[in-house]
Amino acid sequence: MIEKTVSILDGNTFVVTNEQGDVSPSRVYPTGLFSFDTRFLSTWQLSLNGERLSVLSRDDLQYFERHFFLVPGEPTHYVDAKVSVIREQSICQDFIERLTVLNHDLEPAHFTLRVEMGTDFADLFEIKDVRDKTGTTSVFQEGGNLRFRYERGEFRRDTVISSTAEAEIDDAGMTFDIHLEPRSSWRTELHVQPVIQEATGDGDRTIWSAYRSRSRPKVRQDLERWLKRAPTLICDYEPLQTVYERSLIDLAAMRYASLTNPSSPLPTAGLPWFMTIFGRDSMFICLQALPFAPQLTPPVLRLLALLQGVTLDDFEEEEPGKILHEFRYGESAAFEEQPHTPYYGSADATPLFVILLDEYERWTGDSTLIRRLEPNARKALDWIDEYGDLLGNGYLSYFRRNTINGLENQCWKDSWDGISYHDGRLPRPPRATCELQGYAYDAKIRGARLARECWNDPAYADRLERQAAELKERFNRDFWIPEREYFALGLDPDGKPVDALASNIGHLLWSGIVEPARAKKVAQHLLGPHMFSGWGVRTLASTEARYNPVGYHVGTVWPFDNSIIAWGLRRYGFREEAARVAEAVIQASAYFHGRLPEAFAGYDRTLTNYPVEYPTACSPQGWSAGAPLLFLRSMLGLEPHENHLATDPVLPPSIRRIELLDIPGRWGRTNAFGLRSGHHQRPQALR
Amino acid sequence: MAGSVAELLDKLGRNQNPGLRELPAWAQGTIRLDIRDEGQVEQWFITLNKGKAQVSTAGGEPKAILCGKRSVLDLMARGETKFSPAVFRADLIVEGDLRLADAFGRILFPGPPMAHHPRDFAREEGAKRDREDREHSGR
Repeated sequence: MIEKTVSILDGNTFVVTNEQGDVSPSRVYPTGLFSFDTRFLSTWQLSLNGERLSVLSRDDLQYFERHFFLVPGEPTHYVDAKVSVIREQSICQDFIERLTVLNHDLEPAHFTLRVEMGTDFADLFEIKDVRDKTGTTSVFQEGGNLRFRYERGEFRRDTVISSTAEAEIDDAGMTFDIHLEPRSSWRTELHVQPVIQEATGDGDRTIWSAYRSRSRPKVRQDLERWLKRAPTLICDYEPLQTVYERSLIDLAAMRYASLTNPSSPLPTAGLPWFMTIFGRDSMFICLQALPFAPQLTPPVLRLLALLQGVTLDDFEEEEPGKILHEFRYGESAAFEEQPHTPYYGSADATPLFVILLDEYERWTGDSTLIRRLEPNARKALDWIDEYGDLLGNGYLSYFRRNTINGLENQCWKDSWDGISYHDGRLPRPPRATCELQGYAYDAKIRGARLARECWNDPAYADRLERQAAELKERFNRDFWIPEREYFALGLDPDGKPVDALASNIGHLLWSGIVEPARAKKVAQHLLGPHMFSGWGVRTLASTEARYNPVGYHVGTVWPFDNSIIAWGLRRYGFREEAARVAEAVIQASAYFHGRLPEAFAGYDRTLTNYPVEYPTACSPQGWSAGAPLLFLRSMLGLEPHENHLATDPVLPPSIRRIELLDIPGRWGRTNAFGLRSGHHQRPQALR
Repeated sequence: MAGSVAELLDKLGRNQNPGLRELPAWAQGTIRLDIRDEGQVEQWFITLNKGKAQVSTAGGEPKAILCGKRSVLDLMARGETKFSPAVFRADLIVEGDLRLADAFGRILFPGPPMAHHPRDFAREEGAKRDREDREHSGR
């Protein structure tokens, strides 16, 4: 059983502790201090006179600071506590713990305070899949510091710990001898520095030292500025207000600065496992957040363009023009035991790159970036036909070439059983899932618009539009299952439908690949009893053999998935249905204090009365935090039209009024209003 | 494909590197490559400009410096190890403009020699499976 954890973070440096602020060594769960995918502390335990402490209360001040109020002994002894400890933890590149011991007694007192310290320098992937270290760990006491070091060849990681108060240092921690007069206190500040590849010579200025010394805003000011830039929401429905504010803060928290562009942080996929760039996740978060935080998008597009595939590589599943799936910095990536530098194993990231580029231009009018990334967008579009179409049948499909640790499913449902037939069998590869065809179609349509309007290449635009039209026709012929009246989840290598009913069909609506005459049937399935649980649309319908309400991609409800589905319903005019999906997930958020988890169980709402959290380790999660923003867009019907923002609000029954003020875009800033009673108001430009 | 970093630099200097046409427009400037070999350091200056490369043993202030053992750079020249992991395990040390260094190291060095086009891979695997299916059904 995993105990409850508390996290603070600054970019991809984060600390996961228990509810007392302690870290106990765990080989299977990522507790401790992490930076760039390496664990720099795996033991951090406080004791007073040899006794562990209990927590009286905790202040979750900001995502980068926590305060714990502690007393010795078990909870039943609280009343007699003559001493208490305030433990203030914060993170700003380094981990800092301020300890204050307070003597509440009328007598002087003597205390021995001890912090147990240690680290295993585990790579995040050694925790996912427990392995012993290849290199050697050593420990030194030097100049009042405690230093742990890991070395494997030239690869070096250090944890350096210092204290402002004098300490007795040994290889496993620091001990403080404290004498306190009545009603007095004692303090120390412990400073833990994760050091990557410490420079050895005087003039050394490696990428790591340059990164560490980069100029950057203070985290507190940075958060204030971020919140100030976001639109203001005023509504009469408390859960929506809460989830909006929580989402904005979580999205701010989950950004990290890459080595190549340290001044523009980009969104990561989730804490603690996914604090890095993921092509798919980072781009979906950008899409969700465009009306609210368009500044997230350029650094993502630029980094993905920088690392766009150039060559063929089976281990990393790289191909020319392909957009990456995941980038990692840890030991297993460095020694090429994992393919993550970067790993390209996703078939959707490349079309999504073109989709995001276009959507970003529609909102912001930033034509400079669009022109700059033109070569990358063209390579991405070429990739779809040259490398993405594995069978030459005009469909985007995937087949992993890295048979050691590559992903079997290279779409968003990337668990091994994520794609199945109605009867539960798993299709052979290559697998052409339906939403991939939708994305490919949308990428071509949007690429054509960019070619015509930004790149001055109408011939290319015509070609892309022709290809898109052919794809749409082909798709509606081959993927439609007439007797069941929905689109197959995919096609197998023999061209036969993988006939499960899955939420992927909602993404098809978003992409626009669905023949309008069939959209109603798709919407009916999505809102029908087999797919709609009452808390949202299930990943897999309850009629399917592999349906499991607590199966990761085979029955749970994902807020992210639902936000795309609602957007898709909107696109085909199902405005009430979109509002219903949005309402269900927003209602569910109230059970999680406004922080939407990665997924919740697919149980029927009438069965559980509350949404059951999927037992996942990721919270907060990037595209779950982004989901409420996209729901707001869908409910208000926000669509950029050249230099103005159109609105067409349709609110669900539980929300009567929404005002969204200062929406940024190519129009400057504007407002949108929605009233449940059907009083639609046009947007008013502020300037 | 080059057999060594020396050969790769030679071909690059004669603009015979297929990666040159893939270089983005912003990838311009001089990279100094320090090849360490038994206590000696051999310095090369590679200047990239509009998809062309000049390679020489002397040059001005570089935008980026790459330093590594000849053995590691030879592996990279044969596509047997890659730029980013080599940097992360400190077999290659980069100073200065990381983006330019990355463009040089990722685009101008080849991929693994035995890599497949995904369509060829799918065809080969499909044929293999068909063969296995036939053998099973024949029993």
